[in-house]
Amino acid sequence: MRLPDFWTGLAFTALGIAIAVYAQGFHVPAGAASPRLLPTIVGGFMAMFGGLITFRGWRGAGNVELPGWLSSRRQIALIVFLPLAVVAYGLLALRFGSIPVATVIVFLHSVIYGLRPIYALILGLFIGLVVTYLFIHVLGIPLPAGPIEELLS
Amino acid sequence: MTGFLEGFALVMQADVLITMLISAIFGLFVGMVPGLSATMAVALLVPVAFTLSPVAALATIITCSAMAMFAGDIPAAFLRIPGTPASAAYTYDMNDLVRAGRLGDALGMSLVGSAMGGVFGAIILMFGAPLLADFAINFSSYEYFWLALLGLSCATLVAGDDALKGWASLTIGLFLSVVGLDFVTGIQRYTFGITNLQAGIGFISVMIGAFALSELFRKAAAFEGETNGPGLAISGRPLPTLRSLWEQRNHIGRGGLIGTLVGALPGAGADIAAWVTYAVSKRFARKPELFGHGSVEGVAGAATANNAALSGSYVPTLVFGIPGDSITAIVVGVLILKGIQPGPLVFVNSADMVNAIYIIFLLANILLVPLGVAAVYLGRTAISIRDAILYPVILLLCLYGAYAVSNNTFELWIVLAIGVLVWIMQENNYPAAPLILGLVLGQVVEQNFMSSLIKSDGNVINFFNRPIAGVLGVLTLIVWFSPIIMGILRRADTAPESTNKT
Repeated sequence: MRLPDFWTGLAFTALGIAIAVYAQGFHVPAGAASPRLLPTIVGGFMAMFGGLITFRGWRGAGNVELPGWLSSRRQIALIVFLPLAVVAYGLLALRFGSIPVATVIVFLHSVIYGLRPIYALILGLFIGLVVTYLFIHVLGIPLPAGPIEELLS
Repeated sequence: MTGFLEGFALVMQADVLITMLISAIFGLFVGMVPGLSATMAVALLVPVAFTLSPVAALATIITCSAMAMFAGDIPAAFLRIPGTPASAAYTYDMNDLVRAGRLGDALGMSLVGSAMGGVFGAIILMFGAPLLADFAINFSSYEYFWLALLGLSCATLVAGDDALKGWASLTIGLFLSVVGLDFVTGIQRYTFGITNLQAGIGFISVMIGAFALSELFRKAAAFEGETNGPGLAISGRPLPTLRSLWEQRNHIGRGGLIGTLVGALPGAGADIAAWVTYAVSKRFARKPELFGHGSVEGVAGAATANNAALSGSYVPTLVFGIPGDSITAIVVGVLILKGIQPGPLVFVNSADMVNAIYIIFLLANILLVPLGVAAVYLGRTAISIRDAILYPVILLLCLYGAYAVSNNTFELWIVLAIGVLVWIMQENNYPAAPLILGLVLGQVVEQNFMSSLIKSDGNVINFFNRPIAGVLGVLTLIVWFSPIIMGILRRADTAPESTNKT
């Protein structure tokens, strides 16, 4: 999404000010080392750089370009799918296990990319099983496990 | 010489050579997965290493880490997604080179550079370990503070076309580095009551978000229908020509030297070595304008440095028993468990073992070339898979890689937030590399600044009192203020001319 520099600079300025102002609320114990120091400096610099970008881009403030992908339903679906997949894995894997959630994610993602559903299902099952097995049993990483993982162990 | 031959005999055992080969393949595999770092590859091998003989255990760790370090470059080159944090500095250069059909100048250069860096570091380890250790042990919080601050100046070098946006991106990384419990006071900063944020924001999760997830967003936004591949025509031989290698001799040599020196500093490591070398290479490059857009010089220097840093990190480990980085922290544990106490006496009490370590380093880095070429071919095959198969698999690897960081789904939210943020930033010409740099160095800057401030009781003069700190401090100030001074001098030069004209 291409935004004019004026607006992105303004966002940096606002964030920088918020960071610096919030830092003033940190309790400072006696001594030279204040927990406020670096956050205030970082926030101040962020606001300054944002301000310079805003100032530099003030002439083009109204030139908002709509991204090209908004005109394609598939591209929108692909973009929306990514955060949904992360959230779905984060919320559902602990309850249902990694294999079923991974299978569904890979299946849906490849279908949106244009793979025929039957092939996508085979891919989802294969990748869901093999990659999860490799992570858990070869690499020893304890991924969220559910009923299917328990059956396979 | 006798000690060297004894070490050689220890390494030339069937069990050692077989474990080296297996751990090499394992290291290549783990390094290629985004989010799984060389440290994680080694950590995963620890349970196996404890069951092996001391030499075989060390061979496993050294070989695996060297392979994983290089393997991180493979997804970076083909997909713009670094496999390990140490590859982040030159990811875009390698991808642009591969896109230009210069596989040998990208991955080939990185492969040969990595091997040469590893060998270079091993040679320095063999002959200069005590000297280097003396140098490294003189570093206190003052020196680390200046070194990290000097590293932050790299932001201008990795910022791309728009320096101002690069600095803005750097401040985001610095902000992320202050989230969590304050190092000195233990006060919670920007945690908003979220327990998981108290430990700070994990570097690997940020890297997966900034490079992998944002890349998936970018691919999705640019998707224009089914193709037979991801649109990347890979051509060229997997190794660089001798001429190309010769042209990069200075960058490789410099990368080896800087990598070993940075690696020898406890707490620094391959990531910082790669960033610093990348910045220094740009200063000395014949074509600095190509950095970030397909610079062979950048790849040669930084890829050499991260493997050299691995060898360098064994200097304080062996000489003082102080781990140079997280991998050598594991090595210290293995050594102690096997009855070998690292420290100055290790060169007397276990001379054969120390020599065996040198030989393993040399062998592992020589082995890297043929196995690395095979891994490049494997990666080349993987990249020819169509989008509909490749990207879902990458997404899954990112999810698993992020979860594996702390076995906590919270890492996924970090990946998501950073992925969306960096995608929007990149769409608006804000580079991601300074953000990563800020996160890597932010904590080092603050912790050492605060420690120094406490030690000096708030007296800033003490930051320049020690010889190395003084030199580093002046150097940093020159680097930071030279653009302003140069600008004033240029104006002063042009002012009389314009006055004369009038």
